[in-house]
Amino acid sequence: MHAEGWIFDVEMLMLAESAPPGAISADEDGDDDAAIGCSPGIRIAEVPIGWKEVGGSKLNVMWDSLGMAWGLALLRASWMMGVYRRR
Amino acid sequence: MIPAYNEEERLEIMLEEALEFLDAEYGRSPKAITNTTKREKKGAGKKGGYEIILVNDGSKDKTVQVALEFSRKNKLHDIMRICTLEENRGKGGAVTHGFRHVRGEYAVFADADGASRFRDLKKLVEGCRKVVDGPKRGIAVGSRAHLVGSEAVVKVCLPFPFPLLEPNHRKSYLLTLWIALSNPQRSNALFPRPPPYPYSPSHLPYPRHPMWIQTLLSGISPPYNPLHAR
Repeated sequence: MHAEGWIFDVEMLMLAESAPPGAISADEDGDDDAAIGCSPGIRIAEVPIGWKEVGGSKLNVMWDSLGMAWGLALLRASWMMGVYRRR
Repeated sequence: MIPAYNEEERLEIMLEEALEFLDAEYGRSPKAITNTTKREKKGAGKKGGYEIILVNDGSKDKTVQVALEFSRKNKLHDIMRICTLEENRGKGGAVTHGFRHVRGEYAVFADADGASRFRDLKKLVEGCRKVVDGPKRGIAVGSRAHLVGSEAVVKVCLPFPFPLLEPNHRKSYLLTLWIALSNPQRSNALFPRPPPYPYSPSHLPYPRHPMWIQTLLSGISPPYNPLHAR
């Protein structure tokens, strides 16, 4: 992972999606006894969670949005330039 | 793993919530499993236990002292680890660094502000178990997408009435805003006068008309006024 700023979560998901395939077993306990197929990358579950507004955020909506847009562009560029390599 | 930058005020509340859940759900030390299922026979035979890693991202306040004090109070000597970065790296940097210190079966990072409900970690672990594959890889993401349109989000958006409007009103709101912004020099203080520009939509008053202000405040387009029609 290379992103230092707010965009690191997008980077993390991108890396997960592009990871090499892994076997999927039929029973959902993760051991490799009965593989029924391959995942395209690391699979991701989206889980709804509770959330409340807490004051004192250090996120500046305007400047950090700009920073995130820049980070996203940078992420795309570095992806295309081959900055990310698999060990 | 908790990335924290200048969190002396919010950290303790969050840690308390986290500790309460973690103690109840996982316990402080791994326990030997009594009812062995197929999966656990292969593993170490122990389950549970947790550790907290606080990544202090170059805080300039008492974040570390607050955490240490909390650790002392709750006897977290072997459970809480604090790692301090000398300079502020940013959230991404702190998280990347923190993940290098994780030793458990599951790694989770949570924000230090306590905005997310910590006991939903259980749901995350369940979600992760469902997607885990052969090499034991899997990710669960806590999402607040289901909150869009709920009270919590609307409350935050309230100063800007746009999201609350119906589609038709939304259109006229945007149109009004566009006219107001694009024709400042055409504004005229003498208002019972037809608009001087030819492209005024007939159902909207010209800038500085009192009706216009009412439109912005209410977000509802004013009634048709034949006086303003061309």
